[in-house]
Amino acid sequence: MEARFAEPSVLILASLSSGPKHGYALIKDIEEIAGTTLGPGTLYGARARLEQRGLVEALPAQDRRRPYRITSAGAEAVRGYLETVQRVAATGLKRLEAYPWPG
Amino acid sequence: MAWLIRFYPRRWRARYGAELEQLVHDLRPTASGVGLAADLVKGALVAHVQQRCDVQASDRKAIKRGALIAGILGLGLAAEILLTNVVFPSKTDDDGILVVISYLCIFAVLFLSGMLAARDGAGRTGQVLAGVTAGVTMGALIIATFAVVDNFWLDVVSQQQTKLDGFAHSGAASMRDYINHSLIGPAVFFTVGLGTFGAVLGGLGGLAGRPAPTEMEPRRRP
Repeated sequence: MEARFAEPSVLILASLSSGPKHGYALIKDIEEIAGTTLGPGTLYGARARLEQRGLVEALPAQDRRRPYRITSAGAEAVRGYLETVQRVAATGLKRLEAYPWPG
Repeated sequence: MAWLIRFYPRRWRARYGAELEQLVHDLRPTASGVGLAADLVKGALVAHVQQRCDVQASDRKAIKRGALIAGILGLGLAAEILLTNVVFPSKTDDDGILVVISYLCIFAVLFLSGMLAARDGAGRTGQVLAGVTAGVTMGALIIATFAVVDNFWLDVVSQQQTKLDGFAHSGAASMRDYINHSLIGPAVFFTVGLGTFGAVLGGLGGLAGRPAPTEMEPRRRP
């Protein structure tokens, strides 16, 4: 079974790493990069917390759609997190390959 | 569907409501209605819990800052008490204007504590507690200053006419006993009294410092 990575904050930061996006564009981009669909309540809950922590910032609204962009603090935070995940994943996969499975 | 956004906290809606409503409108043609509704309800619950946690953190911050501001003013008042009673002592009670200015500063700080608390998102409890903390802190510093000044510089303070008159009618065994006994009433007034004033003025300052909504509330659908 494939584990789903469902940490909305990380998905939002990873998506915003390619440029500012409003809510709908974020949901569609996250669907593409992670294969998971965030609901609007989940997306805005995470986005509000990220904004409060200074990891994303709002840009001027276009009509009623407000784009957000990642801040330098947000980029640094998500980079550190993803590098750790990458190390853990690489080590875990290597160990799984070397594991002496019975039979 | 967007009517579910009304379940979000008011402050949250003021900031994100219009955007979220637009997003729901954009998603509606392709997304499952039940899924959207469930996610909005879950998001509203999380937002309420989060706001409660944020308010508690803001309350604690407001209380600490109330104590800090009051501490700074309290030190200023302590210096003023030392100057007028020891460095430039007067045998007559002629520091009325300084006393009035001091009280005005105290009340301004109590009001400011509540106002800044509100600006930082503290709830009503945090605003009032910030004022109470500021009042009690200043009261404690003032009475502690008087206790130190009256005991360490008793020879200077005891020359004040009000002290001489009070001692003469008190029946106390010594001037020190009289002065220390006469500090008990002011100790209650300065701590309990200023704490009470702090609650009232902190609350009023909180009303004055409420942040105005920055965004329109989400449109109501007919």
